Amino acid sequence: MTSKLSFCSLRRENLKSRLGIILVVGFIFFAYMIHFLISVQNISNQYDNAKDIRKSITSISEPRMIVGVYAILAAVLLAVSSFRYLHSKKETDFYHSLPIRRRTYLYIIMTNDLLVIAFYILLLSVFQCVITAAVGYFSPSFGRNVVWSFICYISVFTATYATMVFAMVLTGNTFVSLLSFAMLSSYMPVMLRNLYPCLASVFYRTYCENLEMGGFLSYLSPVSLANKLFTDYNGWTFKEHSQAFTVIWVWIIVMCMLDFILFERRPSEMAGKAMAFPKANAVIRILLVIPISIYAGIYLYSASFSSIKTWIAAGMVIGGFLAHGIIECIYRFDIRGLLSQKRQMVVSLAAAFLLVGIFWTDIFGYDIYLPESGETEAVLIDENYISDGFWGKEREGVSGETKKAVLNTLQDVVNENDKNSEDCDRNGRGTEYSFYTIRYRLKNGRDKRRVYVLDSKLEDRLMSEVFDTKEYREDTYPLYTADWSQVTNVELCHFMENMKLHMTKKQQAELFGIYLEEFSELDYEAAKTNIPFGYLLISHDESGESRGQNDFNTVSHYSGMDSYYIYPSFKKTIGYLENLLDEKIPLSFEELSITNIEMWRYGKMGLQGEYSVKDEETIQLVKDKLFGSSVWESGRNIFYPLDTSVDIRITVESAEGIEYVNVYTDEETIEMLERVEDGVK
Amino acid sequence: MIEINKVSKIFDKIEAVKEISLSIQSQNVFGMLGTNGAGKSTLLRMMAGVLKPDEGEIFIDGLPVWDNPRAKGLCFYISDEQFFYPNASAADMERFYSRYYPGFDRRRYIELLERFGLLKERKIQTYSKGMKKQLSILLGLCTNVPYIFCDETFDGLDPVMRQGIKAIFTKEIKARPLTLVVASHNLRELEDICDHIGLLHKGGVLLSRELEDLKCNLHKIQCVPAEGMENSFHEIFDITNFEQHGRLVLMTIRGEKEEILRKMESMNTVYYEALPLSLEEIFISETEVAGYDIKTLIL
Repeated sequence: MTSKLSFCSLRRENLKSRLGIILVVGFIFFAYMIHFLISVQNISNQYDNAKDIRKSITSISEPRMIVGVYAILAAVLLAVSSFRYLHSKKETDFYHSLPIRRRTYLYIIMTNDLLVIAFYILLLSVFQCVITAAVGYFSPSFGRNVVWSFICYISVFTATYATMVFAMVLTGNTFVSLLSFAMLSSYMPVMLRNLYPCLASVFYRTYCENLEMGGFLSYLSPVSLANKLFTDYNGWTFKEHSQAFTVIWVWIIVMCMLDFILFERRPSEMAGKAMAFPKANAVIRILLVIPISIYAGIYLYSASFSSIKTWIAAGMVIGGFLAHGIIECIYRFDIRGLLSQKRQMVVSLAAAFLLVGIFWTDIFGYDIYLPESGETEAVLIDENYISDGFWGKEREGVSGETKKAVLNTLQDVVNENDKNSEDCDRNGRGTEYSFYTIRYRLKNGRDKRRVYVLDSKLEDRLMSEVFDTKEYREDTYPLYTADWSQVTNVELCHFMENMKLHMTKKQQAELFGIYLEEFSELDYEAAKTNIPFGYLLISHDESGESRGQNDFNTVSHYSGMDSYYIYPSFKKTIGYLENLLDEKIPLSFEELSITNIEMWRYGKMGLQGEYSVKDEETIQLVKDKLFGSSVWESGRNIFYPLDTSVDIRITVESAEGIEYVNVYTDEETIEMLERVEDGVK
Repeated sequence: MIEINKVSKIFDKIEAVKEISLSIQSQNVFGMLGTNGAGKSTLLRMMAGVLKPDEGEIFIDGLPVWDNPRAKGLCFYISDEQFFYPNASAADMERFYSRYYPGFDRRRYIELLERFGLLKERKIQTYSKGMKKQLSILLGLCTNVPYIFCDETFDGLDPVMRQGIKAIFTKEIKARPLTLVVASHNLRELEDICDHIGLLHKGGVLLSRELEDLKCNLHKIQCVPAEGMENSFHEIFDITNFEQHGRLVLMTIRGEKEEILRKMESMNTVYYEALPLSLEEIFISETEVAGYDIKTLIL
């Protein structure tokens, strides 16, 4: 019978019956056309030269998130309008009694909606081309962008549409299907992906966030896929988004297959019920209750300032009970569902507790992990967190004998980590503790990362083992291996002021060469006892290579800036800078006239002491121990033992007037200043 | 011919239809009778291919119905609350159905619309409930399919319209091959139109008979017996119902009419008369035999 019926006429009939929603979708795209027109007009007025206008107009033809959002919205609207009939007994009786195969009807609806959206996007593309050509800025790049945009929007639409159809077919009520769609879109990339980091950060002291871990989960949602497809950092290219493209089309194929299978098997009598496949209810509920109960536990734990872990158990029970009950209420459309299926609730909670128990008891020894030297290729040591924006050649870490020595030290670090973490939590970081991220590069190709809290002794031991090695320096300071042509700006950040260095590429290379020569000669003992007076702040372009290493990550961690301390012993560097700036650079506070030193010591209860030292002799004694806090804020570890828990402000008098400078100093100097009797208020 | 073979359907652990087997002959009006929840609508929806039986199979003219456009093209299902597109007019629905049913008779449709006073271009949502029912019946008739399934279709129609529709159906059945399956919980609705009645109760078929057979085999006799003969009726006749008001006796007797009348004659009754039996009375008698109290089921 179906074969005898004209598909075109059935299609036409289907479109006619949904004309309202089709026009609403059209209006969304029409709104964007107006937006595009205004953008073109604004760009034309904003720039004077044609090259800039062309560049800007071309860039707005790239695949854009805003149109992606419209495509997502259109997909949801069309899918709901097309399949809403499944949720009404009256309409199901009407459609399903028609002499047409179910799969044929599904095919008609889906292809119709695809044609509708293809028409609108095509119209938008043609409109963009016509407008751009009319103002005389159409270019092959623009045309190429429009074609890619078309493909991207269609892909995002189809993926979202197929997912929404899945939600509509899976359920028997439109509100429940919208909830299901939201759940399908967020379950993998949000709920599951964050579960491990949340649990690990609560239970593992040495947990180091690894953005690559579970990164594939962020691909398992049409919305996050759209985000990946439309995010670009330096102009949209297919190569950069090929992975997202592949996944989105795999997603479309899988979802369409599921849609066809479920649509054919969907019992019509489920119209009006919450879920259309009751057998799947328990599975869906358990899959939701387990993570929700864990999140509820973690939420209560985080909310309690005392951070008592029993709050996790309490939160899990409350969260699990509520999640289970609410889902069951939705399934039944009956508040009495709150207390039903108790056995399944117990199973879900038991599974959640088992999962949490694994982390709580550290059953796999996460915190005490230390690889054998034989299975370790190298060890990467980062003073703080390993920067994803490392712009030198790929980091390899220290190997050979240095690696063995480091692992030996790390054994003690691991043993003392619990104690150090607790002390650090109790007393604050202050001068005694430092955080180090260690990345173990294993011979089997895997990476393990841990964050340790090192007391000053262990830090000293670790650094004395590695700092003086060329391998460590080149691995930690990208300037050694980076492509200097990427440098866009260099500043001298001094404890008194920041100065932009206007240099040619040649001058930059000369400065870097001189700096690295002197920096290589700086040994650990000198770094510990000398105070840098400033640092070179190097801005550089984003490196495609470094971004490529983080396929599953956003590059938000990529700073594009790097800093290098300048010590007073770096005579050649200082000379070069003074020559370049044509002025003398103060190398320490000894060269300045300080009239007052004010100190504020803070503790857990707030301000503990306030001091002011005006005694010239005392000031003279401590001048060479002061460290500009603006220099400390560069981000690089400083080996001089500073106590940053005490805020110090000095008053500097000069020909230009009075200046206040924030500084830090070591514990010994602070104690000495506090002891100055006439300084105590 | 519609063949229903051991069809079952369960909703949420409730057996709506339990192993029903039925044969509905062509060119027939089959009345499907039963209380609410007896399984009439479920069976009808399965026959129309809307629902898939959990067990068993339904064939229309030898074709399995489930997801089979050829079989579904042979029938038209009028649900108890027919769906029409929002803002659609009778003309729009005609265009819609003519796409799915190539045999749709447009001329007849317009003619019937006029006859029933339904305006072709008026929005259906402004129709009354009864008018919507009429329209759905007219649409079903004009599809020219050989099987029409009506679920509680005559409810909501005023007596004049009901008679009008019934007359059209009767005429239609005579004019072309048409089988009508009408589900109702009201026996009186079916009495004057059905050839065959199927009584459904709790998902099963309690009874399925030709109406003529039922009527031929049961007779209502009103008589005034001769003195002392009241008690001998039970020995002579197969009585399914016996009432006595003074000397007047009212009996429902199973058997051949001529035979019954001959026996009455031989009993020297003062007066006797064979009265017409309503379908309701037939059902009371038949179901009482099966141990059911029909009054609690459908009346």
